[in-house]
Amino acid sequence: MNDTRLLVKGLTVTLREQPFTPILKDVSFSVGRGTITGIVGGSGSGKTTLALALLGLVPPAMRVKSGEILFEGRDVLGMDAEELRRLRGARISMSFQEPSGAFDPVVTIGAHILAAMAAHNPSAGTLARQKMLDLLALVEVPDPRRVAACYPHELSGGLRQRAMLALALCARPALLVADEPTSSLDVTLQARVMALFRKLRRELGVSIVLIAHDLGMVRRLADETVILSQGRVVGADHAYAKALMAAEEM
Amino acid sequence: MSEMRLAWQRFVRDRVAFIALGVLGLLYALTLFADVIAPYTLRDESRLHTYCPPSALHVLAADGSFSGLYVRGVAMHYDEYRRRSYNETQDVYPVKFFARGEPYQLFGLVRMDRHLFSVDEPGRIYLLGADSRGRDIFSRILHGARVSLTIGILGVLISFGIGLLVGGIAGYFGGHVDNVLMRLCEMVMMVPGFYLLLALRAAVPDSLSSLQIYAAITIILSFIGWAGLARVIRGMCLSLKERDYVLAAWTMGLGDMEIIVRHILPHTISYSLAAVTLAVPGYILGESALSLIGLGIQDPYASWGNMLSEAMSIVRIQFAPWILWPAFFIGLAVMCFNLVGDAWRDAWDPLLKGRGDNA
Ligand SMILES: Nc1ncnc2c1ncn2[C@@H]1O[C@H](COP(=O)(O)OP(=O)(O)OP(=O)(O)O)[C@@H](O)[C@H]1O
Ligand SMILES: [Mg+2]
Repeated sequence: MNDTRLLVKGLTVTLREQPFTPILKDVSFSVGRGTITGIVGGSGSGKTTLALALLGLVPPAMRVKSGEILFEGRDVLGMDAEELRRLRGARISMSFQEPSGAFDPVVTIGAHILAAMAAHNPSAGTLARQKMLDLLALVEVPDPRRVAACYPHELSGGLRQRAMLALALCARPALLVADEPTSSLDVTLQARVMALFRKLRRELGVSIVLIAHDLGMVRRLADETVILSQGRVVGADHAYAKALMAAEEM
Repeated sequence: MSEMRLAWQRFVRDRVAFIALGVLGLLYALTLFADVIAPYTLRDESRLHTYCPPSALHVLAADGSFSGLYVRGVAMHYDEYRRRSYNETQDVYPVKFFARGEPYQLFGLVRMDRHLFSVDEPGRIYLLGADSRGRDIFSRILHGARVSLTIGILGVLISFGIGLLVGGIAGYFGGHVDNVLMRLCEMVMMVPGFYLLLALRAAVPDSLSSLQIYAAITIILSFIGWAGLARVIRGMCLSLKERDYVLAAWTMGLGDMEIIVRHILPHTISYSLAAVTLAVPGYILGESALSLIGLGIQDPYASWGNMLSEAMSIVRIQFAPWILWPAFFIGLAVMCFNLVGDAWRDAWDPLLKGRGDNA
């Protein structure tokens, strides 16, 4: 299957202190080229942990007990530091659930993006600035010039969320892991971010892992949906999945 | 940033510290324009005016009428115990403003020969008295400030550069790197500073130009100073690296050094600024001590420390107490730096604490 970008096989992550209470238990799924895979689960079900693990960033308090994460055929968990560094941001990137914390408060939005671009393409030079503004325009930020010069706290939550996406997309990654990209947005903005994801997939061929707690929204967008409950992937007949669907119908 | 402004507002409320900051500003301004303000250059001396007391400034002529600022000539006398004393003569030397005098280069660039004030030869104006070779102490304090006041800033900058980097690296990477670097810090901190200073100075050859000595002292002082800061910065970095934006920077594939420099060290700046200010006095005193015992800046160059070496004999201090003026300026500068540093740290403290809670 050479149109599989990401393959997660039996991923089990436990706390270092309590090796028998898994945060993620035997999680398996795959993401194809240019597809959107939704991951839905309640609070604390391990979505963010999974997202970070996809980039080889298991929190220090945790450890991978078993399983594999194959990205473009290479095992992310077996890579050395430099390989990982070149992978992150460039091939796989992540947008954070809380964009307000993910930006350094003393660095402007533009400088964040430029630094990330320089990390993967040091020779971009003056072109980088224009590319950075183009990126902000791509994620439908009004007045990219002004936003680029802003510090994170000067932006609204919605703008920050889109700036976060621009940052994640700055090196044209093959896979975007979006951790609850719409949870802090109102309904109209949610719809626009959803439209943006479709556009990204269409225009850039980006595969997207879309993490959310809202099954309905994921269903509308995703080609495939994985439901996580307490760190396990559950099928459509599982009680939690049924509860989710029932909630959606209300 | 608004935090900066907040801290500044709290700082300004501390009147004493604010005045101290003003005094420091004035001292540095004087230092910058030392060549212009000083009536005499470094090489100037007058053997006829050994330990001449401060000149009396007159504004009234002999007949009591107003005549403008002037000083009188002085004549040296010895009494039967060969003790020196000076009497004013009738010669009148008006104080001239912006008159031509000995040439100098302002900021080392512009050739000039105007001095803020001066009197015509053979008259001498000694605002703060003269030293053993009849050199103007006021002028030499200004020239010496260049060494004494800049060595602190320069030394602090170097050692803080090292301290920030070492602390940043130790705190960020942790583990073995942290262990090795912190043990190194402890070793440097363990040796009593002044003896280390002497040992290091002994390792530097004697036949150096004044500029080289200046550089050597600065580097030696910085070598001692960095360890304390490194330890504190390390502690801050341990918690700073837990921030979400560091995680985000990792997910973007930024390099470790870039993350340290761009996203971690800038957040220690508030603390560092206070620590830097509080560290400057140590450097000023260090230079003074070295120069005082003759290991620092050498004649004819002036520093507050080497000027004080004249004041090492109690007899001389009795006859010419004005040779203690450099000590006054050392004390003033040290006190001001301490006041400013303390106030700045206090101004930040509540902010740091507030931030620590939600970190
Ligand atoms: N650093 C950590 N140390 C210990 N436990 C952790 C740590 N981070 C997360 N956990 C635990 O792991 C579990 C999964 O957390 P995770 O953040 O992945 O959940 P989530 O699905 O993203 O939740 P949410 O929807 O609220 O964002 C939770 O039970 C949480 O308490
Ligand atoms: Mg989460």
